Amino acid sequence: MFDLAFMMRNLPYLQEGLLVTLQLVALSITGALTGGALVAACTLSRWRVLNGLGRVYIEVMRNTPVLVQIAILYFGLPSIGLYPSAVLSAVLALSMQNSAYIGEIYRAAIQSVSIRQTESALALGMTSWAAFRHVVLPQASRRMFPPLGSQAIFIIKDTSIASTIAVAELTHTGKLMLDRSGAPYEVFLMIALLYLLLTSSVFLLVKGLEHRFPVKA
Amino acid sequence: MVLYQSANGSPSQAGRPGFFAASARSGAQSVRRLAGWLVAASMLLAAPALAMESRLDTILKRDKLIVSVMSTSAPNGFIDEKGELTGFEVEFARLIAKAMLGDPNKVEFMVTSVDGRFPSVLSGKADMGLSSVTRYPDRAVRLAFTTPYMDSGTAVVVRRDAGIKSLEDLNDPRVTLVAGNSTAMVDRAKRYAPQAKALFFDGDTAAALALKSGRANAYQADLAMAKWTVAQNPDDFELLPGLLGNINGNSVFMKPGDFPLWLAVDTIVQEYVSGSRYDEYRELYRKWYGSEPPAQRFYTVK
Repeated sequence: MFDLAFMMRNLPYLQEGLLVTLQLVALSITGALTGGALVAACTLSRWRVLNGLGRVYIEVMRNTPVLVQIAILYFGLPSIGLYPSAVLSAVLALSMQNSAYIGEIYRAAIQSVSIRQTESALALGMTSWAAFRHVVLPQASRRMFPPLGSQAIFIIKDTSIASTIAVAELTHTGKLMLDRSGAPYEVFLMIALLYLLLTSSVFLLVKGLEHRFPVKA
Repeated sequence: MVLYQSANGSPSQAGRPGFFAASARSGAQSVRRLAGWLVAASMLLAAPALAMESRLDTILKRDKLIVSVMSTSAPNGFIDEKGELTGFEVEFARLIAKAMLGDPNKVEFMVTSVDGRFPSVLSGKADMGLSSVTRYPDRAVRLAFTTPYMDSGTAVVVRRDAGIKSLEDLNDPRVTLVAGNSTAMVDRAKRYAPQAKALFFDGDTAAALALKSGRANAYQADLAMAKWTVAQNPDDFELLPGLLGNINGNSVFMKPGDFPLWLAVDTIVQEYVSGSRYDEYRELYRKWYGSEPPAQRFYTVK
């Protein structure tokens, strides 16, 4: 029953969708990494207002489904006269939710570097920014790679949700192919393999980074 | 049961034919071996016979029909204010159960999205589907269709403020034409409005929402659904006169290759739509569409 020839024949037709998915992935990961830095800056801040804002943002973003966030941005904003495009809505929702997670990853990694290191650096006459930049950050960033890698994998998989607001990405293209062919196993397997290809390249990248920048005991 | 054993195994084990046993055998062993071959051969013959058993028998034995329907395709299949699954197709599925099993309540519904409707029967999870599926020749290769249970066609709903007055007006770059994500919808958009921006959503609910929220100014849908959408929003929406393409039909669909099941369901559908149970069909049709179904015969029976 399983039709390998069908898969070989139709794989090229998923190319356009794959490119849109790659675009969503690149924009969302960039957005989430940047947004995460802002969130971590808030939660690590000494100012209580900023700190509180960061915490509220994290809780709201983490505790609502990304599908709902996308629907609010795409279908909800028009009622107040804003019309973000479908791609923008998807990228915004994915960036917003993941910046909450990534902000926490940054914060945990930074706080895992012993406070004594900062104290020593300050005692040596470094400014607090220099201590952060040259002592804390190099150590913290090495500890961020594995959790950031899994977060990137979540983002890649979640881009499929953009198909619900008519973004013609990989899943959307696949569903259309499924409708034309009526071959669910073959189509879903092809889609799954392409996602696996994307996620495993991220996995390899993270492994490489971990190898290049090992955590020193 | 064990059908073979290794050369090292004991050939005299009761009831177990030794296909690879040592060559020296008594007469009794030969008889036993022959019996073993017969058992094996009969099982080989029985295996395809089992596989060919019609799903119709399975349904009758199960005493319940499993039907794949949609819940986002009013008025054919949707969730009403009481939170119950209903609609023309859901109720028609009950009529099929009534004809097959003698009880309209002997149905288990499996709700799918637009993209889940074909896999639901092809995977064998549901016996058949009634999911606003139009029969098309290219779909006939992968699915078994019955005679249509209703006429269908593709109509276009537009926003009243869009200034679109005819189907010809759709072919304009200022038009955003939305629909559920199906190949037929994509093909129609390319064919009738190649200049318009076309978007395809998970289902009709989302596509209609895009029209309502002002994301789009035109929405193509099955005629019944298009009429329903306009009836829900008469102040904002209107129906364009005419159809995109030819009149076609919505059919019950099944996994192909099961003739007894297909024949039974097709006969039942025909009996409702134009035969002995036409009155029940007409009542159902009036209830959901507020109009008369096509006459039982186009000529007068004397």
